[in-house]
Amino acid sequence: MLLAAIVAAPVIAIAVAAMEPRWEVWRHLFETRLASLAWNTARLLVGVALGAGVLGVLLGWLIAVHSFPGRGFFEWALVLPLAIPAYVYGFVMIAFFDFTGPVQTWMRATAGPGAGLPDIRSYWGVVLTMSLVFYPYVYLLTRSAFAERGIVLVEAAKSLGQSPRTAFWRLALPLARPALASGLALALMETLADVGTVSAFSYDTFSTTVYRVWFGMLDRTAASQIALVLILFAAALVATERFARRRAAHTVSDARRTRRIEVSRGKRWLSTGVCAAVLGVAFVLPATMLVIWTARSVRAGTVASSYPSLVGNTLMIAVAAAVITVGAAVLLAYTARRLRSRRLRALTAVALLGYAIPGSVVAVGVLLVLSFADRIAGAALGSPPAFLITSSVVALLFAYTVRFVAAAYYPVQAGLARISPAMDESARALGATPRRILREVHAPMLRGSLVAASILVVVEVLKELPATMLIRPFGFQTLAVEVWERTNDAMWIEAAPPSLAIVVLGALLVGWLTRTGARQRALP
Amino acid sequence: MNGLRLSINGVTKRYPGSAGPAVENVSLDVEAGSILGLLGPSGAGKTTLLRLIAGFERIDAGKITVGGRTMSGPGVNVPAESRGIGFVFQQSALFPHLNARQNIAFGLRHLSAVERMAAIERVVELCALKPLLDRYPHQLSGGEQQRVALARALARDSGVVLLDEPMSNVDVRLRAVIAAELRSILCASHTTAVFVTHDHADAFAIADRVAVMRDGVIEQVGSPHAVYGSPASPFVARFVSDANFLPGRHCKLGVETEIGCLPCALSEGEPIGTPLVAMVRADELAPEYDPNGTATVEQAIFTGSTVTYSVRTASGQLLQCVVPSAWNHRVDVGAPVRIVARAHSIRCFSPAELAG
Repeated sequence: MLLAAIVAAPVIAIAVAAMEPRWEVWRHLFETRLASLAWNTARLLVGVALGAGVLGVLLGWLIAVHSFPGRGFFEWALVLPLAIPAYVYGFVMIAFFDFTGPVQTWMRATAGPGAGLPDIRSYWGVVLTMSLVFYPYVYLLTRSAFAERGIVLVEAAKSLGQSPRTAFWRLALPLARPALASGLALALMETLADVGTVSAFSYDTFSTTVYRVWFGMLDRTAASQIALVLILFAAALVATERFARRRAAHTVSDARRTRRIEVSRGKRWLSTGVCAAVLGVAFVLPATMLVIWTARSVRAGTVASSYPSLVGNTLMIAVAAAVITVGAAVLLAYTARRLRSRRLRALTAVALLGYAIPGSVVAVGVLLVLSFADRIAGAALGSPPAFLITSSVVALLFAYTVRFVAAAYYPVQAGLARISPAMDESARALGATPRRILREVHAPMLRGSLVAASILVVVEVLKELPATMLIRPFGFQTLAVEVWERTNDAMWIEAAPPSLAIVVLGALLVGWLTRTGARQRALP
Repeated sequence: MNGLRLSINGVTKRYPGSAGPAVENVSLDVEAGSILGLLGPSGAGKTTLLRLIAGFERIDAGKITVGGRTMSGPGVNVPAESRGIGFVFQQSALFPHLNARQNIAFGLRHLSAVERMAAIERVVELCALKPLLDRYPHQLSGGEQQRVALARALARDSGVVLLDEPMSNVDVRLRAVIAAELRSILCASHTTAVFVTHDHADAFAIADRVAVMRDGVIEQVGSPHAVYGSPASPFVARFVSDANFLPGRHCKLGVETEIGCLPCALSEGEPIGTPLVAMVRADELAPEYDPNGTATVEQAIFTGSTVTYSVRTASGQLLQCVVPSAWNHRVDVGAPVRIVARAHSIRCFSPAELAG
């Protein structure tokens, strides 16, 4: 209960702080930017929903029920873009397609100085980038939905004289709608939370505004109010996801059946081509660019000498965050399992909202809570409020816990769900004490879930940017922050080594999780 | 090992929020070393009763004693882990990270290494588990898992073992074999056993005595023969056999119905002409071809060893008749027939009982 309250505190703090009206800032915003901010955020969400939705469903359907060359490889490789932080992909896209980038330079060289592309730093550029980064959420969830029923539906439709296309539009897609809604909700949560990518594209949304109002205008209340708007957006997404999940029928699937549709040769290679193209643009291209730039950077000797300590720093904070977050998730999951109190469940739901809330908003909430704690501590010590905790590693870890406890909670909960009450009861009937049940039955059975949860948190912390930027103690640098600072100065080549480090670490962990099948269980 | 006597006295259990009690004023005595089958449809309270005995749930009223020791009663509630009662779950509930041997040893912590080995040896032999000991639960078939779970419960030498739907994961074709095996293991262990099932064939094959439950109440307790042969209520009759109910009147020899006079043991002093309902099982009736017959065969289902006929009588009632195929006796669908009863003694109910 206390733990749930602590984790939920930042969200509640924002709501409370936002109650204090700060109309001047609002009026200012309203007069100048609010309409365009709302419009920007809304059309970004719609665009990414369409882009990621179409890509994810198409790839999910291809992989789940078709057989074509390379299917087994693409099945897990198509998840890899999850390892690339959106802001890294963003700066690669900009560097690649910008006026001075290789593509346009080449076009001018071959087709004359008039040739070129529309500006990448536009709405379409952002939507394209984010769709390519966030489609894996839709892909993962729809793929498993299709795999469960797809082939049977296609065969049933064929026996009724319908084409596979009809089976897809009239049967498979409507049945996969809950999975699609869940996947889209996750993709849109990420979109909403993003600060790095949109600011690289100079595209303003609510998230970037929170950051600027907090730091630029130093107005906490106004920042909280904008943050509250974002929380409401996020809560709507979470509600959508929950609703979709509730309607998802949990049929027992015949997992051993691997029959797939055989299509003509041409179509088979077309499928391979589509998968290869998406993987190429979404993963191979950025990864290659990063490798090339890193090599150039090494040759030019511009790799910061602090690089090893940077990696060490990042890994250390990520692992520490994972340990704390998974610990909190385990406690929450156990409490939820034992107690059926409604109030506690509501508080747990708020605590789990963190995953949907942008990092900048979480940071604002954490800072509000901690400065309050600082003030209390200051009063208790009889000294003026000192920033004892506010700007420290502790604050950062707290923020990570709030933000990612849901990512850890769901795999832990899934693991606990596999320990049936009958398991506990039979251990009791065999004379085991509760402590022994915990040690000898639960601990070994949960190990896999705990590892999966920890890896997820590590990957998320590796990529996390906005909260880190807002809270990090002075001089504390992580890979993500380093990337952000370099790209802000358009130093693509210097930004490559830390980006590459994030991508490699992330890809290794994500790839490993997907291959062991844990990722599917672990998705919130 | 020796079984302990299990006594249940006026036990009631009510779940908050549900209309009626799940178990209501149930009293049962299970002799030491005997096997009791709790039989009933789902929702009858069988599993609840079993969980009350095990101590997973608290009773609201009554008393449960094992070997003379009060386990549940007014002011007493021995926790499940201290009752020393074995429990075998429907889904076996083996620990997936432990192999068969480790699963069996889980409850034997309190013993010395030598005693533990001996205990394992004993149940392994009893349950014929030797070749399976090093396997993990996912490498075992449903029946094998059930046997390991049983061995795990028996290894503690607990005196009473409870089994929740022990046959539910067993392949249909192996049912009879597994039931016989289960009975012989339980008999050889001399443990007192109570098991739950909704299948009367399983209950009859395994149990020494059967208790039929309905809506939290025990309707009848008796040997399988007694329950089958003279069901205490139309409900029990329907539940343990394919029973037909024929309305009729009390006559000199028994009951006069539209298919003739059926012999019936009647209570003394019932006046001739009292309305009665005769219960005749499907295997006691057979249609016989008769051009002047007033009944008609509507359906004949051939199952291999038997043929099941649905016959419409003159009054419009549909009767089920099961005839062994070996009789080589065929009647075509649509043929006029008369119905022959091959029963020595028919069980009769009053019309009021049938309505209840």
